Amino acid sequence: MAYYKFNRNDVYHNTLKTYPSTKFVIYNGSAFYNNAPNVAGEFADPIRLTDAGHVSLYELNVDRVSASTNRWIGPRSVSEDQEVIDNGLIYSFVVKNGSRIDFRTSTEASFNNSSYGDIITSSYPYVSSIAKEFYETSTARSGSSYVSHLLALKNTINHYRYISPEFQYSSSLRNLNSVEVGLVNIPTIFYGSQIKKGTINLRYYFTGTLIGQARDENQNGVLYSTYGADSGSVVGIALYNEGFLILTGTTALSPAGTDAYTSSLTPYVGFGDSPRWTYFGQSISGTITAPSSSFIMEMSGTSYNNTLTLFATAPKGQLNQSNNPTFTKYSTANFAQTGSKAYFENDQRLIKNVVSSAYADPTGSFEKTTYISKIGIFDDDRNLIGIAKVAMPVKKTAARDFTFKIKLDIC
Amino acid sequence: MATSFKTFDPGKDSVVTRNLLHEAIPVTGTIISGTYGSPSPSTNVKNYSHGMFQSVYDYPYLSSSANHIFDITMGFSATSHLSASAPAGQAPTQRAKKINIYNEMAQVLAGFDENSAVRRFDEDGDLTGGTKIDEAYFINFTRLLAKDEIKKGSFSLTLGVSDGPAHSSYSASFTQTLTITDKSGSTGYKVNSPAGEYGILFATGSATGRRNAVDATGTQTVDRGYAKVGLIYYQAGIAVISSSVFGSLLSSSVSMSYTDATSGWTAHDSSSVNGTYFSSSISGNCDDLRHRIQNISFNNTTELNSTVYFCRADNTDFNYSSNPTYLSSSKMVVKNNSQDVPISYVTSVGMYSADNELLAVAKLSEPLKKDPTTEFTVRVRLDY
Repeated sequence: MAYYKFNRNDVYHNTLKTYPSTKFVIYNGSAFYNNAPNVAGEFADPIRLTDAGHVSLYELNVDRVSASTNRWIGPRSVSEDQEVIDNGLIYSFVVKNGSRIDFRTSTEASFNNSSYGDIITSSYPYVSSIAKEFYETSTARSGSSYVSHLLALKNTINHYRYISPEFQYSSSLRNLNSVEVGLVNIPTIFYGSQIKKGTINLRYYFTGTLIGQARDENQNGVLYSTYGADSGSVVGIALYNEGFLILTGTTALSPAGTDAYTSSLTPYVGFGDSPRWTYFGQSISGTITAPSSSFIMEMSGTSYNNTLTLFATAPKGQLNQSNNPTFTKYSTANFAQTGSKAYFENDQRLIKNVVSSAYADPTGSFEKTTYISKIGIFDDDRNLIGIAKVAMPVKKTAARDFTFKIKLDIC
Repeated sequence: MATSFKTFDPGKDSVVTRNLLHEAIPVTGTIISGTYGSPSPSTNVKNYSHGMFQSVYDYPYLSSSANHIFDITMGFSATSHLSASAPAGQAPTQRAKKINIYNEMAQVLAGFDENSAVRRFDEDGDLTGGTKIDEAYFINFTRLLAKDEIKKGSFSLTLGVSDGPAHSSYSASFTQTLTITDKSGSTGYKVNSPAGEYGILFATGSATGRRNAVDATGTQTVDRGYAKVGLIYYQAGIAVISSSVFGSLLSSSVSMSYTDATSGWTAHDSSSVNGTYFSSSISGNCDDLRHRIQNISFNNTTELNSTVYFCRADNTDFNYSSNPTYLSSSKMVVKNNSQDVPISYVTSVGMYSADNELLAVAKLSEPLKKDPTTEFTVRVRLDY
């Protein structure tokens, strides 16, 4: 096998910057991601065991339901806590040992209470989705052992105050500790490295009619109302890198209608309130359904895909020999002989002539011919670290040279 | 940007660890036999034009939600009696492909002998002779399920081995069952395969019925014991099941036909396993096996390799900060008078290369108060 070294101009690193679009439709307690519906399976409904507004990290347990099978996976044990139960679902587990590895979802107390050798389980699917938190003017932002997500963002919000005065947690414009705030949390799996500036588009529908639209049209993270009763005013801010929308617009968008945006239970107030931007996405906040309201949130993420491009050249006059057994004529066998002091091979072996002609046999005039079917990529120590295969073998003669472009996506 | 650095002592301040994460993988026979699509073809079972194996998914494979579970195929060796002669009245089907598949699997999993000939699968794994597995089913689990390896001692496959009039329906195939396990896998696995470690698969019969394992002399015993019926390659994620589970292992061979009145699936093969191995296509044999699998389960293993760095902040270290907010009018803002000890709050730990290039940052869940009266060892774990 011949080795060639990649030259400086044979290797390129590129970064492909993409902007995948993301769309959420929020209605009646559910969010729908990129127009995907809930699909019922043969056994499970929905089949992914999570609704259409969630991404499932591994998408395991498709169309499976948990059920008692009275079976165990692996050997049974004298202790029930050390048996892997077959409940019909795929789930992960670790065995408690000295490394003290545990799942984040289990508590430290339960871990400490378990014995060494016990099975500690987690469950699939691992899901992620957008979330909405609503802060009334009277909602405490912190307590003796509690800090709200909004207050936790204080430093982050203030960090961007060089962009706009709107990015101040507390200023003469408003104090987020004492005004009504809607906080929309967008996990990073939906947008990648950051939300693309200028692509946020929020639409607020009431009984199916568009009553408000907000965009970050200045591409600086400040959300302006572009349609509806509050058009032209600032209704919130967006944290592009962190994936948060902080909505502060409290002007009634449709004074004629009201919806159940907050729970009727005390201490909540506002049951049957007029729609406003702080209520955007409210129907995924807790048990709120807000049946007359629906919301669409669109944006583009930013994703960086690194690619490695390699140019592998097969020069003229080279790579015309193969170690494939079929490269030689079958009739001229190896005739290898070994002795106490020597090893002999037949030095008269003939290369099979595969040059085609108009006749079945004999073939055309002999010409060194090989077929390149794959290219091996080796590291400095000649460890094979990758193989590139061509769709169909490429005929290589002494007079031909080829350059193969090999692209490796690095995720 | 840090202004003071402490150098790791490789022998004292870092340690490499390995932890094992497992997953329980149950696969019920209803998925394997083709829950989706009635009558056949099942939409979660993909057949290819080359006809050399089937792919089984957990959901119709045209759906983006479908996960590939395993590939299934079969073959026999060139030394098998099926390679030499035809049973009376039967014509061979795909014989060359069946031999090629066996050879391909054998050379990858069993390797070559001293004469460069492909080793046949050895029933007890000692490669010194004894009984060979010349006719076998191959179940190749996907990396999605097998991960780094199948956990030794956890594999279980239950096959329906009923026969006779009761076999007129799919569910009746499971009146009598064989359960195949790698019961000695955790301690008795073999290491003489080029594909990694492997264990012996043993079969044991159901509590009642005529389909019982037999002893070494071929005598059906009351104490049914265990019979060797295949091999499980843990790292490769491949199970090799001898066709004897439907034939010579039993007191009489199973008819491989199946008829499911509910689904409309009609009889496919109606002869013994030897007959179907010889005269049915590979996909037909795979269909036969799939409709006799009641349950497959195993645990997989993922190795989590980590390096733990012990970042030690002695009492005199890191009590000062270069943060702009640390000083106000050239005075430390956390000190009320000049005699107070300096105080800082540690929020993150930077890991630097030998050239002082920042490689990684470890964040603390909450700032740690540091002053000359305290010392910390921050344990930073890097998983890869």
